[in-house]
Amino acid sequence: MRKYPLATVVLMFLILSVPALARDEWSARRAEMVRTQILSRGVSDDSVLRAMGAVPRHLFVPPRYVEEAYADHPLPIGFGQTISQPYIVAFMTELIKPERRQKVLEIGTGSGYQAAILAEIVRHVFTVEIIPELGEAARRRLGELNYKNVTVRIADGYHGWPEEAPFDAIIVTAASDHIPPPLIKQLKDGGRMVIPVGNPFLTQYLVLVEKNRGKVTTREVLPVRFVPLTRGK
Amino acid sequence: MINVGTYIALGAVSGTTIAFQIVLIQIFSFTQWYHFAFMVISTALLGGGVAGIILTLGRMWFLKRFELIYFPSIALAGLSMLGSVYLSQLECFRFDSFLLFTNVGELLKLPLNYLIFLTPFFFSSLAVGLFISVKHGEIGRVYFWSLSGAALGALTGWALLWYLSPEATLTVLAGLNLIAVVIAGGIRTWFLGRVAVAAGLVGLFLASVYPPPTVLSEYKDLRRILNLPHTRWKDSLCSPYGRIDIVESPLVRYAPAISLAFEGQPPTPPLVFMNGDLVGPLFTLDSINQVAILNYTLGALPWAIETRKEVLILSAGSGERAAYALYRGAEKVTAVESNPLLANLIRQNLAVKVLSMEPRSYLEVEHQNYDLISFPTLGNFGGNGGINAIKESYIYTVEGIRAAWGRLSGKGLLMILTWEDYPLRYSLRVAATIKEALEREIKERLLDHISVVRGLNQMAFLVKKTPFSAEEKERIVNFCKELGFSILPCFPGEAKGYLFKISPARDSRPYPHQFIKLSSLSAIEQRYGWTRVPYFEVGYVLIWLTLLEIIVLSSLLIFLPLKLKRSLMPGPDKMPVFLYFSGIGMGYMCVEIAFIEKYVLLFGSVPSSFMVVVSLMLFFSALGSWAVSSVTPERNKLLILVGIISLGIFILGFTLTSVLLKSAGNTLLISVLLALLTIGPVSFFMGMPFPLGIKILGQVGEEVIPWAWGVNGFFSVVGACLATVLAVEVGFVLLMIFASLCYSKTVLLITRL
Repeated sequence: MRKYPLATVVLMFLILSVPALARDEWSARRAEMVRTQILSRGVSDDSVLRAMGAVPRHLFVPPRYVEEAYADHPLPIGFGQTISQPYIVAFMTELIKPERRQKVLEIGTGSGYQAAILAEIVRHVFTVEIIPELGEAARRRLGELNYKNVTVRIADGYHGWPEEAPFDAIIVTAASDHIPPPLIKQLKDGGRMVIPVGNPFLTQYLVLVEKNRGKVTTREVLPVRFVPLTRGK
Repeated sequence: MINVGTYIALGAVSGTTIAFQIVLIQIFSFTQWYHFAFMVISTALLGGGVAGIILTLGRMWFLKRFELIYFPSIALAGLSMLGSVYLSQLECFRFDSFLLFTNVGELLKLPLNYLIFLTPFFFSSLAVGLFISVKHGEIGRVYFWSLSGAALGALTGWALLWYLSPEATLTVLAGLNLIAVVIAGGIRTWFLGRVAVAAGLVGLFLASVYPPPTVLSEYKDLRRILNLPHTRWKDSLCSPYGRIDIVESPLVRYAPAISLAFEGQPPTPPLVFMNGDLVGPLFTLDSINQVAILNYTLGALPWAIETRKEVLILSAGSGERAAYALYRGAEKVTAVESNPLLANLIRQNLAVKVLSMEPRSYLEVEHQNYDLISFPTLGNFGGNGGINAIKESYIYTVEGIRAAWGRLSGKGLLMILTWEDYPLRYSLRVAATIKEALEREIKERLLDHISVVRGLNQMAFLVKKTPFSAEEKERIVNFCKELGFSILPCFPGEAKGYLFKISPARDSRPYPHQFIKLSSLSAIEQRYGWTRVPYFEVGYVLIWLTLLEIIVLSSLLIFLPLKLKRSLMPGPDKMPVFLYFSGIGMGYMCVEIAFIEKYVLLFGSVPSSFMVVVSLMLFFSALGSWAVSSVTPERNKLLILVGIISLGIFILGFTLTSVLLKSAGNTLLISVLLALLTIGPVSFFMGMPFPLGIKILGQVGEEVIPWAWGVNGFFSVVGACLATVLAVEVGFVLLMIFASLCYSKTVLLITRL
């Protein structure tokens, strides 16, 4: 070492700079994802764009899919579940009009990615996962990433989270053939809920539920897949 | 030495090979999806062609070692049937067909699976091809044993699956091959053979104790439910019709597309799965009140208009629509379900009349009228990637809707529900089908007879025999107001230049689940991206991929020996040989596939139609082959034969559908007799061209026989795939004409052989 001080310094520099370089590479991919997949398709909420640019999606996908983490499609995470396409995550988040003061309920934690995005924006995220293995892994992952404003519960999401209700917004990330009545009850007046319906690899047909003065209305958000599919415009 | 035992072994290996295909379809249909089974098995069947090519390349070497190759090949065919399933389920080889288009790793496992499953077909074909090469002078007799063994194998496979699981059936098939080798005396003079057979028997014993595990795809409905905590398996039943599972989960609620007006707790009835795909909930007379939840769905609409006394449920599935009709006070409920296991389930649990037959056939032969005819819900929640794309249905055709219309009472209603897909396809096709089916009957008054109501993510089409009265319209409006549904102000129709095919399905092309237009593929790709296109209709895309893949592989393998060993095949001009044997291989399979599809009308379901058609065709072809065993092939005789076959196929193409529709609903014996009368004669003659062709080759150049056998094998596989594609694209009649032309073209070649 004494013999080659310069070489040692260079080597140490290289070793130490690898994580930083890798970080930069992931940041660059994220920025590219936000620019080409999300911003270009019309998602314009600043807080959503910032969150999508900040959360390291590659840490939420299984190791075999890391290289595809920022690609424009959903990825399998095991147990027949998927981490949604980045655009869908951004679009659903924008739909609930997230704000700093809000308390949000998420049904279907999955990898925890959607919860992390929400946690970047809102005050607190309560997220429920029914498959214990997925719930535990998401809880650990979110803890390691220091998301202190996310609480994960392993339970049947159909009943929501009555102890913490009402919620300013609810995001359901697991497809359902109907809107669970308990979730409608737990939605605050003036709140918004969004539910995807459909094939995880193809069409996610979003339904937006709004509650105003006790009256519940639903709107099918049709262009969810049309917009991404005319990307580049 | 070749004796009767050798012929028995030939029949055994032919039989177990076809039974193996039936078992593989069962295993793949459960663990993956049936179209994937089609893809893997079709490609693996190329093993037969590969055997023909290897025999061609090393003909003399193989002929000198007949016993040394023939008997071990039969034993290895059996053992590799079992071994291939074990291997395919190992972590390193097992893959998920749902991820095929999104994951390169899964894609790489596909050729490995082809190789694994190619092995048993290779060994069985090596044995049969070698026998044909040795005994080409007695080809009629050889082919008779092979085909009749195959016919018996189809029946045996079918029978075994009633009593054994598919995994256990594999052990029996492997055992049958070993027994056949022992009976034939294949190990008498061969010490190593005895050791191998003894080792094989030990292996079979172990396999019966530890059968190959079968792992469900993560994306199958059953697997998803089983992933949930507190899920309990209630019952499971294997049969040739597939595997039924009944599962209970307190976490899976039954509330399909329910109105927001519902505020209670949805029920959690047991769920019925067929081959791992959800069929529906199971209600019994004791739990029938749970079905009241459907009061909050579009399913309640017919009762909101008026009471329904006589109700017909088509494709009743697990019986929830029948249960709801009973709950709503219907006096007489008739449920028609083509799957006998599901029909039995309904019979055991509900007090309704249950008929196990193809619903369309029932509409044709039954003359009773109904107040409500309920069609099965189209599309499935979540889409499932178009797994039903190439599944035929004769009730959602123009003729099917017309037949149902004819069975309505004066105030009767047809009720069709569709899940809303995106982009819209099912509802648009249903609208187009209703319009075309009924425009003759109700002409410009169409809208007076039809009401289209949209729920949360479903659409209901109500078609009434007489025009809706003002009072009835008012009741529909009130129903919608109460539940937050909406009435469509106009009848849905096709926009010009729509990317998907939404024109009505017809009896000649009964594929109501197939929407992709080949001409729109690039536009669909531009809009959705290549990785997503397959998920619109996985079944359809895989069939095309399989066809292309098989054509490429077959072409390479057929022309390889011509390039490599031109000197070893000095015989006749190869082109006529190629065209002759490819034509009869392809023609035979096109007829077989067309028959399987059509005889569903008579036998109710694809598995039973497959069993009857395949075994009858093989048996009669075996007789045809036997009949020409002592015939000298002469030009005029061959011309007459080909003429009879082409004409027979041609006539059946135009008449079979109507004959079968008019003959449905008879006893099984009469149905089988009818099949025998329609399938038998043409199959008898179709069994003749192959042995006659081999006889000619025996006279002009026997070196080419294994190659001709390989070409026939390859084109049988190509024919099966092509027939499926043609059935979807051009329909049954044109498919039969194509098959007829395949045979006709051999006329041009007979003189040149």
